[in-house]
Amino acid sequence: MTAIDVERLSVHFHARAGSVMAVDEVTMSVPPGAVVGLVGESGSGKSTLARAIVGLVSPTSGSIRIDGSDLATQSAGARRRARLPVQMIFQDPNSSLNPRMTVGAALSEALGARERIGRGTRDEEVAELLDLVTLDRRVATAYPRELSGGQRQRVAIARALAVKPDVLICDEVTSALDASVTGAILNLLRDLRRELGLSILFISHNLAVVRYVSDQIGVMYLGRIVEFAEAEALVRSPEHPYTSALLDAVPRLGGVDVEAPAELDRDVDDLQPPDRGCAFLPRCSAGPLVDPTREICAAMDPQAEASARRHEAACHFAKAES
Amino acid sequence: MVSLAAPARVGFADKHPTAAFVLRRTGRMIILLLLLLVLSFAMIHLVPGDPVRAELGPRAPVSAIEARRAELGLDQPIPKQFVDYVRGLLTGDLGTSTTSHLPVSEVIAERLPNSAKLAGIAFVVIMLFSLSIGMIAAIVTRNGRHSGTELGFTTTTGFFATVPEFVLGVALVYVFGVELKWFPVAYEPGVAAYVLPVAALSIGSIAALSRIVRVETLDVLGADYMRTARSKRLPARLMYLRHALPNMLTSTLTLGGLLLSGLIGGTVLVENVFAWPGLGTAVVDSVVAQDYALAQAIMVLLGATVLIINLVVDVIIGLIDPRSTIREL
Amino acid sequence: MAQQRGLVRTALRTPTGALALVTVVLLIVLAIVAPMIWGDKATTPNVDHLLEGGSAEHPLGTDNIGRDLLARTLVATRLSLVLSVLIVLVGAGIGVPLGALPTVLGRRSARLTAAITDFALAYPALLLAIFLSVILGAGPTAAVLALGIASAPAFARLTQTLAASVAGSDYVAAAHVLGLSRRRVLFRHVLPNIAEPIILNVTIAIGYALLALSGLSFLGLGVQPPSYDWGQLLTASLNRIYVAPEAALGPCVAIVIAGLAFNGLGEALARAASTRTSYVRSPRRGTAAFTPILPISDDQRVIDDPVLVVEGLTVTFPTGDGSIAPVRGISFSIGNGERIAIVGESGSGKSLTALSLAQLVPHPGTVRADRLEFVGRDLTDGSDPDNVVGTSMAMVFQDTSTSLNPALRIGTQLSEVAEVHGGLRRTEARRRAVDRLREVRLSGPERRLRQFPHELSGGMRQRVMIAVGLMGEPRLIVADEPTSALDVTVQQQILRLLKDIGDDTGASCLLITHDIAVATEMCDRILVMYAGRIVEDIDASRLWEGPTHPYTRALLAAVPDMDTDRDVELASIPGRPPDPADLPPGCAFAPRCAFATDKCREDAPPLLLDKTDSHRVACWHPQQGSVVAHEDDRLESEVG
Repeated sequence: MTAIDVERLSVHFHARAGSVMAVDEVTMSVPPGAVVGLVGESGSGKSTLARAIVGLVSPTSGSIRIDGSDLATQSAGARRRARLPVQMIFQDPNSSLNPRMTVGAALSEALGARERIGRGTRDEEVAELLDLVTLDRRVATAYPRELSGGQRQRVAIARALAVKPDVLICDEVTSALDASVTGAILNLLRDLRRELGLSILFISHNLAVVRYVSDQIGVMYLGRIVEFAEAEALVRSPEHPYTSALLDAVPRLGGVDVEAPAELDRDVDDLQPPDRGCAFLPRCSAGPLVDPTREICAAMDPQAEASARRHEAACHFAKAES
Repeated sequence: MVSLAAPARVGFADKHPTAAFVLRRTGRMIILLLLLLVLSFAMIHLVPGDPVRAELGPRAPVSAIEARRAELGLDQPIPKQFVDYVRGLLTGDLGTSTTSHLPVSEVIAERLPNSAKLAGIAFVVIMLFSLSIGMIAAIVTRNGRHSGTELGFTTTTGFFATVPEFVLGVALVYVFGVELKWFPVAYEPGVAAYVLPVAALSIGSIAALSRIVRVETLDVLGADYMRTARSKRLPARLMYLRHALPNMLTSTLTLGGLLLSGLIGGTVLVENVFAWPGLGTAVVDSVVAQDYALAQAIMVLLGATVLIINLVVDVIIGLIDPRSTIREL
Repeated sequence: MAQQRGLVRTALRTPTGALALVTVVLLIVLAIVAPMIWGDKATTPNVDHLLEGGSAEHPLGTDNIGRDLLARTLVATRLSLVLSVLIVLVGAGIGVPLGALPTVLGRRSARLTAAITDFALAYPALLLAIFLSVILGAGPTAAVLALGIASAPAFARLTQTLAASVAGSDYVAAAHVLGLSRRRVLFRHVLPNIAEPIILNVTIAIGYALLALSGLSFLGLGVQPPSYDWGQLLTASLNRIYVAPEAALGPCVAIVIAGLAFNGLGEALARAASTRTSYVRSPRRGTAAFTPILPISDDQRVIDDPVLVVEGLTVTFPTGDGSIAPVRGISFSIGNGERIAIVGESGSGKSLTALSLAQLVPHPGTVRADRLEFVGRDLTDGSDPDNVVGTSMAMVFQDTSTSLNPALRIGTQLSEVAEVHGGLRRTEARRRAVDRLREVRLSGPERRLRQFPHELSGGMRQRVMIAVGLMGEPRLIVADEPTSALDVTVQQQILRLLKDIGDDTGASCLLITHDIAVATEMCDRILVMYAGRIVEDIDASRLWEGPTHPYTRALLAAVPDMDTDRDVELASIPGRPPDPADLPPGCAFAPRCAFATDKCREDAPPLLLDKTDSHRVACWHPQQGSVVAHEDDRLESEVG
């Protein structure tokens, strides 16, 4: 059983306008058999974190441990082998499949990545993969352009499953799908987790979906995890103002009218955080902009003491860990 | 602790992005210009055989050859020759043409206006026609209207865009010069002589460019912001002039720049069809006659013209388009 | 290879493509056999027939040593074609690897590639040709090299763009994550997706190379006598044009035909290729002509003082063999100050409904309605003499990055509405603009007037769009997915803003969305659309108790919200939304419905009011009870 452990991981991007810390000293783990959700808005760094774990992006500092062994200490070949049990499914069903390969060819190639299988048995394995994701076996001869978005996502899942992974990283896999199809994909992921014992890192901006699927949830803001807790605990009693703001912002069926906004109703020009102090300060309704006595927010970065607080919250006013 | 690794100091480029942009582009052009000079200088030295011997003939005595060599400065070390060469260019001393025995600068001065007028008139004609035809075609055929017109437009422009200028020139010479005798087919003073060469230069480019203009205009007309403008129920004049046109400026300028550079090649060809006394005929004749001083000088002149035109177009685009300076590499 | 054959077959379907292909094949055949058949005739001098004009024996005349010009034109095909192909090989040989460099070696080398490309582009092909002709001597070598180098930048640029887009695509990323070797990724994933467009460009490039080469030969800088290509033949015949024009005719025609053939073939192949890799589902050929609009009469809610009344609204688009109707006869009304949401998935017709109200349906779509009244004015025939749509209806679109004009300042885009419709002068209009920007809670409104759209974030741009709508005095705000592209916290602010503006100005609101939860938060009433029809019209407050249409119920059960039971499976709807070109008779949802009967499949149900007079549903078997997802995928309820 594979576990992923990420410690103080940072990913630095150099853009023309300056450099951006897309992932900023993130520490988290995906235990075997668990579903960990990562939720955040645009610019939170959740996709970059995922891409760093699977090796599509090089981290600037920090370590990634898969099954206990630090990837940085391994040779390129060993690293590739160590990463194989961690597979990723992408957001856009339009670009996640090679338009010039049939479904069968793509799955067959994925099967070959793990071990050498003869041509005959390969066809049978391809059919079994399609069964696993509840697709008709005849889909194997189709090209991606002939399939719907939901079908293409299933093929992407099947491709990831071909190498018998232990961990699936799902990056916004339902965001581009219609509502009627989302349920089917989420159900499929739950079934696969139960049948194959997979652990899943589920990334989405949709808090309702993340809450439904995950055992634990991490909330990311500007490259950091600002809160991390069991799903129900996080939703029922959040410790970080950003989590509260997110929870408040999620539209609810039944139109529950919430009175006080959990976040300042202002558009912030520049999303870049201040040099010192808390990154969320400009948007925080619990901070010095509302309550001037809370100067500590401007002086000290709450990330430093996070592990001492409940839900590992990066907020000076979160409760202490009991 | 610092999340954003801001640049250590705010440099000149950040305070004056436009000026930095212009300087960067000018610098690039100067490098390319220098390269051009090096290449044209090297051209003489890469010619197989000995140009002096070729000029004086196989029976010339060694003393005469050496004297001529010293006269041309060919006995100096190469770097010094290059410096002399550049100095000569800057002061207007371009050497002597071996075919006419006149100073090269004189030959060029005599021929340059004819080519410039031809290219200049053609440029204006092409821009006027291709912009108007392209835009009108776009407005008429937008959203798939009048598919018959679209087919006719595409076929006609496709045909004329493929016919090269010199073929068109020959055809025009025959039809209007030989058969109909409406226009002169060789250079003579007066406007009439320009009609056929300008036509030969322009028609193909008008066809090719109006296709591009039509596609660009269709893109702009179909953009979301045009739908917003329509939702505001603005009068047509405002919609096209204020909303559509500014978005076409960048592509039009780029087109204009490419056209000017491309006209140089076309002018050379057309001049040779009509025996036009310009730089185009001069450069070809000089290469054939191995009159390298003349060929070299014309090459530098044409090359420098292209570089300067590209620079001016780039700078104008950079100044006009509010987004381009930010996107600058 | 099957893909390539299919490509050619598709290209052949168009008359231009077929003609071009045939011509190219003919030229190739000619290149091979012409020298064998007419070679002698082309090179044999004949002193008895010098410089003749056209005749029966020599249709194009003879040249200065009596050689037959027609034969020479035909034989010249080989050299012209061979050299053109060589030019393109040189160009692609330099350009393609150069363009592939940044993708393979990383972003630093992109600058190098750009520099080299810039350099090659800076000097016209002709100058290069002159330069090389001087050094190497005028001839085909110099010409081929010069033209090849000159064509390299185009290939480099194309390759670079293709390689970058392919390398950045998710399927290449997936291949890396699968641990496939770099070699495999390159040959199986990257190259096939790059190769096809490049090969197509090669075809077009051969055409251009041929024209350019002929030009150089014409100048005397290309093929040198005694060799001859078309350009060389043309220049030789030029000085006889007064006497024997047919001499020039051969090479002229040959050059033009060859150029057209290669360019035409390349373009036909390119067009065929673009339709093959696109993901748009085009209507299948041979489907029955569109089924006529169902003559159903829907019930209409009775409201006094409605802002908008729509009856029988239909939007039609013509297709190759018939037409499709993405919106099929819908009826609804919006009261004064009411907030209504239209909820639907992709293909439901919700966006087109919004566009048709604002008369923005693009050509060739046509809008028809039995009745269309807005603020009391009859707009049924499409004319709007008092311009009520311009002054009283505000539109807010989804994509903020493209809905505002990038070339104009915000101030201009705001004040022009007041100047054109309100007759205000510039300063007054600007004052109103600042006022509206303040109303949409945009910080620093005076400063914003001078800014361009790209200087603002997505949420801020959406506020600007709303402000544009407020410049008139709108009675109805139509918002088409206004927040789908925004973060959820920004979405909350924008929705709240829309709500407050509605409260302040008394304007009604029509919100189009795919998110039913957003609809319930924001609106009083929800219209659910499926396949161009309204299937349910229900109070938002009653949604929790349970809608009655199976589709609405399935939709609610299929999407998790914050209170969904985490231990229970989500419901899913089998199948997928129907293609407007392929609608079944009867109820469009029947193929996916758990409760469909034969009657559903034959007769389309009308939208009917129920006993409460405020709930409409279009179903023969509406379901009762609140929506609860059970262990199997089906919804359990009493059969209605």
